[in-house]
Amino acid sequence: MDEREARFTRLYETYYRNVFGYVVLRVAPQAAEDVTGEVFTIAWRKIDEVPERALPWLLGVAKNLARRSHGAAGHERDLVDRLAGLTTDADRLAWDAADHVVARDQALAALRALSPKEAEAVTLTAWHGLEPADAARVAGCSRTAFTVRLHRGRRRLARALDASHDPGTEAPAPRPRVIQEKP
Amino acid sequence: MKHDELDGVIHALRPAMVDELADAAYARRPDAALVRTRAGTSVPSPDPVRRRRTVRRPAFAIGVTAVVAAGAVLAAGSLSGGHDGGTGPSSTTDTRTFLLASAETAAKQPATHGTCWYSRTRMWQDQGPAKSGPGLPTPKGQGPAFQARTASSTENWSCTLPGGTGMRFRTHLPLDVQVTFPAKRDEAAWKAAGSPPLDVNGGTTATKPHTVTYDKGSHLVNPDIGSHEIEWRTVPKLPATKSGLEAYLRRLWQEDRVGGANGYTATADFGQYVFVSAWDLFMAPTTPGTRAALYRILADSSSVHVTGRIRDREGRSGVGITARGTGVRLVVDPATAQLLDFEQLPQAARRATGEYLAFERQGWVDRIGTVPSS
Repeated sequence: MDEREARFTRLYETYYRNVFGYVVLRVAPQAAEDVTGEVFTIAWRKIDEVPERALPWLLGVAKNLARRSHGAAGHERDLVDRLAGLTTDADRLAWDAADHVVARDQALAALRALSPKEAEAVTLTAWHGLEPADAARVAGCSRTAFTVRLHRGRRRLARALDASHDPGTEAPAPRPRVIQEKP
Repeated sequence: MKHDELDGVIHALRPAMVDELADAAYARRPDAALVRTRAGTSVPSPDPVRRRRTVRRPAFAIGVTAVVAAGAVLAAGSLSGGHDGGTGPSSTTDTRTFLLASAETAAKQPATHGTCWYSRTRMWQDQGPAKSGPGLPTPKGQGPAFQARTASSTENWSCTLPGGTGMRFRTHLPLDVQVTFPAKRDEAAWKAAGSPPLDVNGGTTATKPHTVTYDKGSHLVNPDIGSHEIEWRTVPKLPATKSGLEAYLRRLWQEDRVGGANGYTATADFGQYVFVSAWDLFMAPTTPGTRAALYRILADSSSVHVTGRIRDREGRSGVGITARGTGVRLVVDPATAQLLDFEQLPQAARRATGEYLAFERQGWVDRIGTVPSS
């Protein structure tokens, strides 16, 4: 095994779960394995271009493949639907046991209220463990843009969650997405 | 909600099944050598997606059928944003001169006030197939694909209740929905897909206009400066001189430099910081003095520059201004110094999606649901 092959194997073994975990929230689960395989097929073909910090690059490829293979069909918007579909009783029990200040359904509703880019920013950092600079690469924007997007997304989420457990609060109206958006 | 509480909620929303599925997929993944063999040489595939294997794994049928029926929806898209009909090179417009002139213009606008701040905005959304990106060649010959651009308008009212007892909000949308296709073949492809509804702000192209009125949620309209939320009622009281506003903004910036709420850390460039806060302040009912001061502060920034004259998507003539590293362009009407458009520029290198919001009308009214006369 030469050096390139060894590096690819290392990436494959190290990041397969990460890539799959990202993909399965963006495409129909039946397709996630295929898409993940395609990510690594491309990674091998482009192995000399894969940067040292490989995960953002891999997730960037995954993002584009997910869009291409499934029309991406508003995949960001579908995030909450996919979450709901993957949620089991075990998740609900764990949620109740954790004694969160809001119900899980309310939290999902709050997440749904974010713009797609804000939701992406929040989940890239929280679920995929990416630093803002790396997450910005996946999101396809500058670090500054991503940082502001993340900040706004988190704040909007926090406010929506606050509102959702504030007695007497009506559901806020849909918010024009760009108005909340800063790069 | 506290920072750690929010983190806990976000983390807990990720279903455990994601990891379970990942473990299962990992356990039966092909050997790395097989992946390399299938990939062949380093010559990129013209369309890797088309080669996707169709083997189904039974494990995926467990518990996930509810999410299988993803409809034919569309990704926010790949059309390039921006109808920049620039009528002259940016070098012909001196940034500082323009911003200072805008300050003068803004200062001369009448100071108005009322019970409800009305705004009507129009948002464009590009929808279509995926784009090339890191590690991917330019897509070609891909499957079901069309490009489309939707547009719709939204009316918003933000009202102060009598006696300052609270606020009431109303939103009316989507209005004047339009869909355009860049080419006839895109429209044909859309029809062939069953003419699915396309996303617009607050719904889809099939959504009827509706009105929502609510009493809580001022945080949804309060402008932001960095990590700081500015209370609506204090917006008209913001400093109206350059020195006063700059001192105020610098204080907020310095707080954000060391770390603001939700992990936000401000850029080291004060001009950039002001620019990314400016559009919130321009959209809010700030006084003419505050707007003028804001232009004067921006005029001092080396990061801010004029991009040239622009005819926007509503056919209005304006001047584009942007700041280095922000990826955002604001279009200002030189005659009134009013903000015409907010545009998140597509990033050519990554062909990232652009966003476009036009400010069609703003102003004070005395009753929720009414529209300014001019």
